Amino acid sequence: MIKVKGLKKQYAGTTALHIPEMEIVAGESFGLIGNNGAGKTTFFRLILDLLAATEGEVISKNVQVSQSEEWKKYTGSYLDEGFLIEYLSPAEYFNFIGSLHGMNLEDLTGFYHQLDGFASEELYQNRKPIRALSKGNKSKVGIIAALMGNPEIVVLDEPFAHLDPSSQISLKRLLKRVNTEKNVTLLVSSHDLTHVTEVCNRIVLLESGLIIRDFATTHDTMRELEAYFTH
Amino acid sequence: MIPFIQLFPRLVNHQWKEMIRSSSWQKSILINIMLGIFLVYLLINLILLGLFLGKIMDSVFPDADPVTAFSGILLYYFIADFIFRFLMQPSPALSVMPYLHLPVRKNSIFHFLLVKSGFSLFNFFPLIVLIPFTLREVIPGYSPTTGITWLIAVILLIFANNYLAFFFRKLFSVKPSVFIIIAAVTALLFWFDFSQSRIISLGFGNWLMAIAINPVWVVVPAILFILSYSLSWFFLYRQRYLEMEEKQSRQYKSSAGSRYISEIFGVSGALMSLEIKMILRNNRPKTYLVLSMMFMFYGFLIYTKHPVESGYGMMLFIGLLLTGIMMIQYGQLVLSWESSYFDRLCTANFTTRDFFIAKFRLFFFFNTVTFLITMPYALYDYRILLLNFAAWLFNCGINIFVILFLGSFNTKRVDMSKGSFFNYEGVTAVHFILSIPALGFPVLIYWLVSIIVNPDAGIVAVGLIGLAGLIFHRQLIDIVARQFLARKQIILHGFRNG
Repeated sequence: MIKVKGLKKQYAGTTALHIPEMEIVAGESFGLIGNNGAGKTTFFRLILDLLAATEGEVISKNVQVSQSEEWKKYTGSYLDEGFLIEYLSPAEYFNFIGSLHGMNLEDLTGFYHQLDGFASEELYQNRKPIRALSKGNKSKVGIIAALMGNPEIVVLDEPFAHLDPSSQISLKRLLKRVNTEKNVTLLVSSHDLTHVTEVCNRIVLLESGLIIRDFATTHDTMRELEAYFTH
Repeated sequence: MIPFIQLFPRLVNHQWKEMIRSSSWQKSILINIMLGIFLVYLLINLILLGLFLGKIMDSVFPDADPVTAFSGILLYYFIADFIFRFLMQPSPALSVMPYLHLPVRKNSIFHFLLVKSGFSLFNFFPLIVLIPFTLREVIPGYSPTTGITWLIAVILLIFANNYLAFFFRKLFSVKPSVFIIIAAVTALLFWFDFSQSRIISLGFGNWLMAIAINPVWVVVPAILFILSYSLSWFFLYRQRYLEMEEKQSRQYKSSAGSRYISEIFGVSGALMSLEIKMILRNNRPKTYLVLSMMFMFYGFLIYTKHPVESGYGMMLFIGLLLTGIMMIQYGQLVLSWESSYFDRLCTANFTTRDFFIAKFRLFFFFNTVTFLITMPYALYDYRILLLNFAAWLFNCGINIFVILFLGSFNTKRVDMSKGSFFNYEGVTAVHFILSIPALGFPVLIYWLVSIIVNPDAGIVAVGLIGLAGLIFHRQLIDIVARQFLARKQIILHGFRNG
């Protein structure tokens, strides 16, 4: 699904990210962890062509993301508040993203029902501008928009941050379901080790822009990660 | 609680840093130099005006005392100054939020905001005229005491005006209908004064002279100053929670209109209705459009003074400006307007081409609206309609693409919710230098053709070039889209880093 070749991003001489070779296969749920400044967001931005690589390339479905806009059709994403249009109400924002995928009002309602409990009716009907919402609700709006239009790849940067406990639980359930039932490739980063290990079947650990570990999730993963972050 | 006296220099320091570290200050040296030259030029003019004002008054009002005559005219100055401040003076931009939770008296912050608004060029420019005038006319004509009292009274009135405008600006943000009342009162005042042989302005002049001659009466302007300061303070005090609450309670209905547009035009319709919402819901783009609407009345000044006979070339230039003003104004910051959610626009499910098709359609709509609004100018002379039609074609067929192409050089983030007329945030030297050929080029074509063939053919040529642009708009959109993609990463980087 996504291939990375000799990818390097440098800022003023310092290397922010260096991934010589990596492949994420279709249907994989890929968890990215690492401390602040490890290069998680940089990696996601490179995948979404929001950043120019210093060297190397990101290939999505055999096409370089920087050379074609094909990937936009099947990639849903939410990285930060820069993805939200703050003067729109949530309803208007969903309408807008929906209309880009050719969804009408009925399709939208159908889509809301599939989210089973991640967000309440209240949020879909909310008429406040997004800039007036709480941080938790803002990131819910972004995550929901990323799941619209049956994407094949979903990229989420720290989706669990700011969410209340019950939303965290239902998001985990939702992501697992989307991944197993619809075979959506998930790319998720998080500071919360429990959440990523629960959702993802592959964990990649970044440190100062380099991949330190790359392994499939087992019942031992949690302990291993904790040991790594404790020293 | 730290006392106001100690707090004040710190706040001044923060404000200074905010200005110096703002991206528009740092990165646009060329603009700063251009503004600097303009400022010096203005200063010299004002000093000369102050020195020769007595002579000017003598020649305009030969039988009146120049100081009294000038005092009368000051009333008009105060009214014009008030309107100008109301429209142009930026609201104090100190973001109060980071201070409110600190152990600092709210009242100190309000006073700081008010004092800061006193340090405005609007308050210091007049002094450059008034001081030479006082030295040359008032003191020799009357006495040093009268001269100084006169100057103090006028300065107090200038500052009273400052806070009155401050108050009405703030009131305007809550109750926009205030603007209509102000406009009506001013118009009525001017009309009454002119029709009744300047009874009000002459009365004002005599009143000011009476104060100057009896220094005790300077308390009257002083009281006016204190009143208007208190009024502004009171408004800030009452409004201290209001801004937050207002933000919380504002609600938007998802309108049927916007769904309708996106059903007809598909993806580009959705993008167009998004952009229209952006303009209507954010202060700065809205201000730009209001300003350009006002500019359309400029035609009254031009067409009454210059008949079309005075030259098609000049009239064509005016036509291009009038029928394209909305696009030209708004288009200056195209892309930058959307900087706060540009990451979304670059990852959402539409192509760059779709994006620019939407922009083309929106600008076409803008130009058509301005063309229709300026249509009644044809009552002056039917040829204005033909000229403006050619100008409209050229604006739609060529200038839309010029502006969109130049838009790829807009790499500065813009805070679209901050509204003010003198806000240069995001404006780069590119806009000054390259907007001239966009208007000059068609005039040049006209001149060339009119010399070779005749003036009518010149206008037709300009219109035909515009029409050709419209016919080949797909190819032109492709060029714009390619230019954008070549600069996409630079733009994204610029928007992300201020």
